[in-house]
Amino acid sequence: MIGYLKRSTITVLLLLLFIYIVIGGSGMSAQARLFTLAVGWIGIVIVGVQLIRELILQRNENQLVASGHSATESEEESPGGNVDFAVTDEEKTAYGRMAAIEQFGWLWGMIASLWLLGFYITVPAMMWLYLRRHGESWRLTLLMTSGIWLAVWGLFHELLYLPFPEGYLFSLLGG
Amino acid sequence: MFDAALQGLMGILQWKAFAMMMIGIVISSTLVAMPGVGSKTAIALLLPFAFVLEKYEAIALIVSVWAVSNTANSITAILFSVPGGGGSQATIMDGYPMAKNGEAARALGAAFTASAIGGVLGALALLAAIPMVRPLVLLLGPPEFFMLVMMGVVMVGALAGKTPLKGIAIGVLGFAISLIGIQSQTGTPRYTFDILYLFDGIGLVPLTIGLFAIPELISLAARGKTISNVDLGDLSAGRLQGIKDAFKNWWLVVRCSMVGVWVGIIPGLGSSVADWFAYGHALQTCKGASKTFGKGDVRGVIAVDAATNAKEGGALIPTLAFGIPGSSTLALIFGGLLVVGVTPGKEILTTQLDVTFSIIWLLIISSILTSVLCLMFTKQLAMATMLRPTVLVPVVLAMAVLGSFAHSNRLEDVAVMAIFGVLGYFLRLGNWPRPPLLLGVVLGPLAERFMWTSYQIYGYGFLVRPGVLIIAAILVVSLAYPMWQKRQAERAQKAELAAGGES
Repeated sequence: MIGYLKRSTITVLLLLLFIYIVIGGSGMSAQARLFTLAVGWIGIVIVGVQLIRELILQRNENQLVASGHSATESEEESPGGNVDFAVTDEEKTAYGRMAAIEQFGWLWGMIASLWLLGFYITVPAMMWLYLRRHGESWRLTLLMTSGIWLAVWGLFHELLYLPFPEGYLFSLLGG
Repeated sequence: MFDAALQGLMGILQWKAFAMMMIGIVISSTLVAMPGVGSKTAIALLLPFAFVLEKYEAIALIVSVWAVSNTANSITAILFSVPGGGGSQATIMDGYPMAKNGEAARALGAAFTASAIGGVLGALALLAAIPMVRPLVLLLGPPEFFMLVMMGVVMVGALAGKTPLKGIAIGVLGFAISLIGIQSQTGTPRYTFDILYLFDGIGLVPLTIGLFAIPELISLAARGKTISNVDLGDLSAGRLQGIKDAFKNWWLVVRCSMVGVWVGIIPGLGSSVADWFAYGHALQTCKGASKTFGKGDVRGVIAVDAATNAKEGGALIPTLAFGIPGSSTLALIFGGLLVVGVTPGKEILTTQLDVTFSIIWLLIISSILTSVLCLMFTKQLAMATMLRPTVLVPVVLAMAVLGSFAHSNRLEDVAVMAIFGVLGYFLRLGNWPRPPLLLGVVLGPLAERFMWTSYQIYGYGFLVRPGVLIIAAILVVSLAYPMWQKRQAERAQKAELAAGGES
């Protein structure tokens, strides 16, 4: 069961998404519906076939394991090769997974902080905290934090006139 | 045509456009020289800034960032046996042994020179293709263009990953994402859930940054150590010898450049195929190659680098002429051109011919300048690989956030970037290729427009028009033939093994 889940979670989610697209597109006007339904139905067919393939592959692997053989993930390979970066061995380790969770933590924490405190504080603060968290020297931390603050203020605000929104906290205090 | 060529050249020689090209070359070379960042991430991070520029300046920035990527990729491949991108995998075969033999500078000199010549030849191939392609493009109607768009997505999807079905499904997911927002012709909101932000659809820039930069950033963080643990050594000596080697093997450079152009024209094959095709060609045709290749033969480096850079000129032929970007990187370039008001397809070969020529000029000038700069600053570029991930990651993260926000000055774009970051990570983890998704998002609106126009003119009969059927047949053959060839090779291999076992 875990094997099926591991292999096919994304496939099932995609299938549900394409079904939703078809249901949602059915009530639209003819012009808006034509391409929507084409995309939805093509998606359902392709992902459906892929799901069946995965289920068969998993069943075969389960049978191999049950008969005492070692299972190998065999999938039909495309002759074009892999143009996407493959997952590295480091990423598959427990350390790699923890590193991924930590990076997502930084990313989503940064978004929350951007909303709450704004860009001028969040971006340099993230730089400072990240470098200190990973044991970089005070000197480098100070240098890079100043550099990123200068980039945010000098390049993005002064030169490119990016209208950075005020943090929610400050708008509350100001209001 | 001559006037357009001159106008295109003048456009990019304006000081601002030229400065943008130089900025693009320097930043892209530095970013691409770091494995894990890659050309897609470099383009995605720089693209938002092109949107605030004038037409020629924006084109100069966008094209130069892309044009230099293959050249800079060779640095890490040769010095540390780490491919900077898809196209530099075969460079390792002879480049790294050369570095181990103390000939790193010679390998780099040869690679950069071959890359420059390949880039120029690729651009010339594009130039030669324009008079041939123009009448063909003018012959095609909406049904054929619709089919060509579908062919681009299907081919990239089928050839991008390990399983063709997964790639195609992700391409269709890209189409699905392009549905989000107000339908441009009817004003119907689709899948917007009454969220105002979604009325404009999902932004290409935050999507790309999320999809590509965030998973690479995670990969960098997971490494936990510097990209290189090898000493850089002396990179000054031997460069001249490498340059001489490239010129001495000029016929090999020309042949492999043509291999690159041919691979580039076919959507979906990309750099990772061009380099191996060229390497294989050199292995078969160079004298004594079977004994020296893989052990540090400079011809192995020259062949690969000429082909991977020449490929870009070839890849631009279907992109500019038919609006079919053959890779996700080109889809980004395509999206960037659309945003600055340049529409690939008929327009760029008729009313905006000067833009086509400016792109050709940029390819030529960028290829030469990049090689010169890389030769001059090889050591400094290589030092980028000595950076610790703990220093690199927060910089890329800050750039990702700022770049996403700069797209349309909305905090929601940063959230979209983060959401696609999560999606990109899980797709990568599940071996679902990401490039077709980008292609689907970029080509979705075009496909919809062509499909509706075709339907209005011909009804569902547009699907059986001769042009459509011919393109469909080409698509089927292009997909089936390599698979059939692979099966045949596998069968032959099995038969050989069985025969060996019996004897």
